[in-house]
Amino acid sequence: MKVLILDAGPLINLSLNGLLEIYEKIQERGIKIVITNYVYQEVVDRPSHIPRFELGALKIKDLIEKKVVQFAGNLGIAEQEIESETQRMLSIINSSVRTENKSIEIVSPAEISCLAVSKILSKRGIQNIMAIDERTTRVLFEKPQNLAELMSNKLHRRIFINSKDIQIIGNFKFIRSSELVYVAYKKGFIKINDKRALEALLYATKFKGCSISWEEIDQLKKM
Amino acid sequence: MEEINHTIDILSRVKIALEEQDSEKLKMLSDRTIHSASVYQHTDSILLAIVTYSLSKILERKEKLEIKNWQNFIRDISNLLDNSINAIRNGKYKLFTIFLEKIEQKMQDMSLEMKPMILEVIKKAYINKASKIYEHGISVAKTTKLLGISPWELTEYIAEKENLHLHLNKTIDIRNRAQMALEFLG
Repeated sequence: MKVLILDAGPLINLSLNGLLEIYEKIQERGIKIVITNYVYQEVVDRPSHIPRFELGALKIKDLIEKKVVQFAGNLGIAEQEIESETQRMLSIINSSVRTENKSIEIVSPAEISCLAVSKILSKRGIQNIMAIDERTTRVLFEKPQNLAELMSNKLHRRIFINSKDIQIIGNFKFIRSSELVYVAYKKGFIKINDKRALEALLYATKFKGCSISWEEIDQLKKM
Repeated sequence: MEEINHTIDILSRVKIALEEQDSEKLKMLSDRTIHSASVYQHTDSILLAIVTYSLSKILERKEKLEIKNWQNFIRDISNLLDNSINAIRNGKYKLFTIFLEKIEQKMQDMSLEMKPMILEVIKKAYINKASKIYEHGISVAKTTKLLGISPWELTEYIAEKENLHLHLNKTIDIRNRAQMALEFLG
């Protein structure tokens, strides 16, 4: 079994871009797509009360009702296990980022609950990958020194990140909406017959919050 | 103590900038508050950043908003700023927050006809400050939770912002990541 774990960003992104059918195509290939309760709150519960985003939220709710996207609990993971792993990771991460005399809380339960599911699945020998658009969590695990530098530059004070603590939490595989549309294009899920289709898809994900640079988009176009 | 002195300094400067009707200075002061809001994440420092930014935007649109009794509005806000400075000096933090909320309310009530436009200015101020906090390295979910907005509102806005430290977002090679996605999902 393979599992794609979705943070809120890639659901919001593809919903706003009218590309949610990509998840149906992925699921048809036998890949389980899961979210956590925290992510559900962000993509369905809260926007349901904002007129501008109500339709997008309803489209995601429909995907969940059709079981294209499922709750991680449906994979046989107890909610309590996800919650306790989430809180354990949150506590480590939020005390690992420090200025001179104070820790800085940089992440929330939503994205960390996805990491918790990933860790639990990996322990059970189940292959998984996490889709996340926002930069902080991805950079924290892939290159924490970059996040420390960025925060130091922005906050005008030295920020320290205890990389050893972060490494102890685990190794995770991250992709973004940009890689999701790239795969969708390469596998023929997108029925747009124009040579500019790939770049248009990549631009669309960037403009809906995916943390990808113009340079990276150029590189993907050439692949 | 450092944060309290910083807040008093900001409030005093906001009062001067408002009286001088200097919208650029107000924006700059709002940005300065964001540094502290990102580290300490106290709701009052976030509210101060939002209120200051909203004031700058209202000043910019002063002519368009056609506010009657403009001088009274400035005087009332200035008094509320004095009250908030006194509250924080005396350690009355709850009262300090109440005065900041009163400033936000005063902005909303300044013109019945223009209320929808003013509410839009304040809403945009929340999203603008959220994008600034995200730029400081705080995650989208954490940021939106702090400001009481939805990640849906923030995603489009952060994409439009020029990021001066974009190279620091790069971690693993895009070709490797794309290959990993193809192998996993393909």
